[in-house]
Formats: sequence, C-alpha cells, structure tokens
Amino acid sequence: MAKYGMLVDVGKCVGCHACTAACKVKNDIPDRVFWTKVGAYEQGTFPNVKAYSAPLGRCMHCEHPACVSACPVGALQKTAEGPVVYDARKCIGCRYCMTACPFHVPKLNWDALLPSIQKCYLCADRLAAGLDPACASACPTGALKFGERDALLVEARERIRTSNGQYMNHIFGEKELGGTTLLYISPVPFEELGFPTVGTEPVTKLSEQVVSYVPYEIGGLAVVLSGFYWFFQRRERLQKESAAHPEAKEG
Amino acid sequence: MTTATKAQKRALPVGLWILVAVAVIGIAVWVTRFALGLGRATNLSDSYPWGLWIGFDVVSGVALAAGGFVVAATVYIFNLKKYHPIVRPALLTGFLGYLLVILGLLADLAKPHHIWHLIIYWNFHSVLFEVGWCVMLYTTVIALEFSPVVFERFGWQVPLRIIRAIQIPLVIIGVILSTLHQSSLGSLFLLLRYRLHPLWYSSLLPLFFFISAVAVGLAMVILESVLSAKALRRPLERDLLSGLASAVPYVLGIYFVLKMVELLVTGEFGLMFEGSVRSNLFLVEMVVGVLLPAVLFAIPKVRQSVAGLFWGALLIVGGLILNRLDVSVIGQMVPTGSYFPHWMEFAVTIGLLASGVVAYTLITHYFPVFKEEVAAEPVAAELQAAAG
Repeated sequence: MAKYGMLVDVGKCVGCHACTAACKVKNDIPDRVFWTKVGAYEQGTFPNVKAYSAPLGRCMHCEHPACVSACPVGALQKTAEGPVVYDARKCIGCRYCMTACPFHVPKLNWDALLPSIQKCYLCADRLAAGLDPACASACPTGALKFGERDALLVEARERIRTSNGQYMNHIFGEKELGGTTLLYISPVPFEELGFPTVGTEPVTKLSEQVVSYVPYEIGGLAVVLSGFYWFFQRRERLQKESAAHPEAKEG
Repeated sequence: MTTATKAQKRALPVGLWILVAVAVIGIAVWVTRFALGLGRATNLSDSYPWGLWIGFDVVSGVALAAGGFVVAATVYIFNLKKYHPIVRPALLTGFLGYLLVILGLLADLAKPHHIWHLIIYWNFHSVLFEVGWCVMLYTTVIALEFSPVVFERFGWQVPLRIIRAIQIPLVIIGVILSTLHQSSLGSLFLLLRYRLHPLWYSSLLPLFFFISAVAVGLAMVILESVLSAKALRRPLERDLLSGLASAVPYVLGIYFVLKMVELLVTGEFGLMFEGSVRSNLFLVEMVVGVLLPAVLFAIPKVRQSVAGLFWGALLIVGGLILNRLDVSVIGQMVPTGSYFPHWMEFAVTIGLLASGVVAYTLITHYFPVFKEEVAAEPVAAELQAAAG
C-alpha cells in the first residue's frame, strides 16, 4: 500500500480554524486540548508586516517515531500506511512519549482523573473507510491536502516552483528525521514558525541500537562476573593451601 | 536470635517519632494524589511532563539504591570478605530504595491502574520497557538476597538453606540487573537529542549513569553507616568505610575525565562557561559533586575521619541528585512554560524518604541486620598487619 501524506501549505492558510473545529468535533477532544490548532504569525515590522497563519504543532507522523520507540507497552504504533496511532487502553501514562517527541507534540488532558495522551492519529478510522482526515476535508483553501506522500512531494515542489521565489525552497518533513508523513511548505522560514532544527537521521537510531545490545550485555556480564568469582575463589584457595603447606611452594 | 534480643534492648531513637509524623503526612498526600488526579496534585504540564517525582524519586532513587549491588559484588564476587558486615545494611537500603522508587512511580503515572501492563504488553525497542523489567526483577532478587535476615530472625532453617545454596547465582543476577538498570536509566535520555542540553546529552549517557551510580553506591553506604551508627548508637565500621572511600577517587576520576574528553571531542566544552543557569548548574555538579569529593577522599586523613567520610559522601550524593535532576528535568530545553514542584509533590517526596528511614530504623532494630558487630580494633590491627 502506498504511503499516505499530508501537505500543509502555510501560504494558503487563511486562518479560518475549520480544521481545528472539524478535528474537535470528529474526535470529541477534551476541553482546552487541541490535536490541531491554527496559530497566527507576523513577519517583519510595522508597517511592512505580513500576517500568516497555519496549523502547527500537530503530529508529524514520523517514519521513525520517537514516541513509538519510547512507549514501554506499545500503546503507540506506527501503521504501514503512515498514521501513528494511540491505544489509551494499553497506556500506563508514563509520558515518556511527551518527553521523547522532538516536535513536542503529544499532550495530556491534565484535568482528567485518569488522563490519556492527546495526539492526532490522522483519522485512521476515516482512512480505513476511504475518507480523508476530518481536517483536510474541512479545509476550504487547499492549505491542508491529503493524499499519497510521493504525489504530494511532487505537488509541493511544483507549488514552490510556481511561487516565484516567495516560498522557502525546502519541504519540511521530506527528509527530516528520516521523513515524516506531514510535509510543510512555507513562505516563512521554518525556524520562525517554531520548527526545531533537526538532522535527517532518525532520532530513534542510537536508542534502539543500545537496547538491541541488551541480550549480549546480559551474556557478557554473566561470563565476566562468573569468571571473577571463580578467579578470586581459586586465589583464596591457593593462598590457604600454600599457607598450610609452606614447603610445597618451594617444590 | 541472641543478637536480635540484644538489639531490642536498645531504645529506639527519639527523633524517629518526628520522622513517623512526616512519613504519615507524606503517605496521606500520596493517597490524596490518586483521588485528585495527576494534573491537580502536581505542577506538571505539557511543557514539563516530567518533574520532581521522576527526577528525584525515580531517577535519583534508583542510583541512591546502588549501594546494594556495589557491596554485594565487592564481597561475594571480588571476595573482599572484610566488607561482609556492611552487606546486610546495604542490601536493606537497596531493597527499601527500590520499593520507594515503585511507590514514587505509581504516584507519577497518569494511569497508575495500568502499571501491570508492563508485564503483558512488550515493546522491545523501548528503553523504558527494559527499565521497567529491571525494576521488577531486581526488586525480587534483592528481596531474596536480604531474606536470610528474616529467616534467621524467626529461625526458619529450610528456606535459609535454599537461599544460601543459590546465593552466588543470585548475587550475579543482581549485579547484572543493576548494571543494566543503572545504565538503561541513562539510555532513556538518548531519544532526547533535540531536547536535552548538550552539556548533558551524550551518546555515552548509559556509561555516565553507570559509573556515577557506582560512586554514589559507595557514598550511600558510607553515609548510611555513619548516620545509623549515630542514631542507633552502634559502633562504626570506620576502617571498612575508609576502604570504600579509597575507591571513590578512581571511580569519580574516570567519570570526570570521560565527561571532559567527551565534551572536548564533541566541541561542546565551551558551553560550560556560557553563564546560563544550566551551565552554572553543570559546573556545580562537576566541581562540588565530582572533583571536590574525589580530592577529599584521595587524602588519607580525610577518609579516616568520621566527619571527612560524612561530608565527602554527602557531596557525592548531592552531586548525583543534581545531575539526575538536570538530566531528567532542568536540562530539558522546551520552547514554552516553566516548572516548579507543587507542595504536594514535595510532600510525597519528603514523606516517602521519611518512611524509608523509619522502615530502615525499625528493621535494623528488630532484625539481625548488623549481625556481625564490628570490633574496631581487630579489623584495624588486621589492616595494620596487612600494610606492615
């Protein structure tokens, strides 16, 4: 199955908040929590100000998600089609995913007695029914466009090319941290929108490598510690024997 | 049995009742937290999802409980028998320490009723999965290692013989689990490459956590021995503790050199002097918590005096707690928000600490923990003979 993608075009967003509303209704999200939220940004100083808005800070659905790697009980899973989904019934609420996410995405409904992780799951249920995610369906301008990732990358390049140099020549998410499902294009530099400066290597690589050594560590430590035990016991025995028979030493 | 009855004759220290009161309040707040939910009992937020309970109760707590495995390895694997008298108190603090870690973690989980999911849902890629299993298994192992104390107290011969028969494999399993556990707490932060300040973020974090845990394991044994000798009015194993302290400069020295070389190699050395709160905390950690105690314990006169042992060990423990708080809370660079613990967070942390001390005092009072009352002179004479 082809990988899904979602193109977010900061230049096309008019700040109508239709995506935010559609998401809250569709997913019955708790008060004061947002899985997608439109923020407003200004570029330049008065009177030469350009105003921008865009749904930012939403789950990027990484190809190599730190949250999925972090979760001790596998409550977060990366599906083959792209969405990173969450199962509150498994979650123990350790919040390691919130700490691990390089984009500061997972949130918690702190007011609840037994809170759950709050995060976009790309309307995986709607996708299964052949529909687009609620936010993309609601967007009137094409600032949110859902589709196949490869096709969206082609379209993103096209939109950058035809912007007459207004857009940054960069698709955020194409290569970042090994690639993400969400792809951003923007006339505003990404750092100014609050995007972190990250490399192209998956953030999960080192951590998963270290965990994969554990079986060898156990084996190695067992051998080394048993060896030390044997060595020091033997040394003591030999010392006792030579003390009991001092003449044997010379012989 | 005879030692137990002898111990019972001694009066319990008066200060204990103050600690009991603190512990009772803390446990009451701990219970209240479950009725309130995590959000209302803490100042945690989406910016700072981890705070005092993770930074102190869990991440520092595990390191402070390292005395058990360090001493068990010293005595049973490296066959340094003269340290045998401090095995039991070290195992006891290790065991109590792990129980407190579990209680602290329970309070911190957003869904504490799901804690048992660690047993049935497995994610082999997760460092926290490894940490969780190490806690469960090591708590079991250290309980078994300590169990002879209980069996002796009640004169149960059969279980005593069983534990004695498997003692060495138990110790080896315990050291393996501790090594994995201490280092995996460091590995936990490998995912935080873009969040943790570069002075603390390092691909060597597992190694740093392990080495510093060994140092603090030694320091905790010293600190507890000095304090319990004072409180319980029992003789102090001063020469043994000096012996342990003499190993500290090597351990802390390796830690310091590795840390500095790593910062030089990654080109982050200069960050130490950027003058920010974080860089200053880092300097305090390295100078006051690592360099100073390493130098102090390298001086024979210092490590042979009770005050020297006490203050040196206290510096190491303080430095370690600061390091763990820096890595798990303060050193995390988040775009918005700030965090200072809620009074209930402090109350639970202090209450758990107090209940640990109370449990330690009561158990050492009623059970043969300090079985081999150390006569200071023979050990000293033996040491002198060995040196001479």
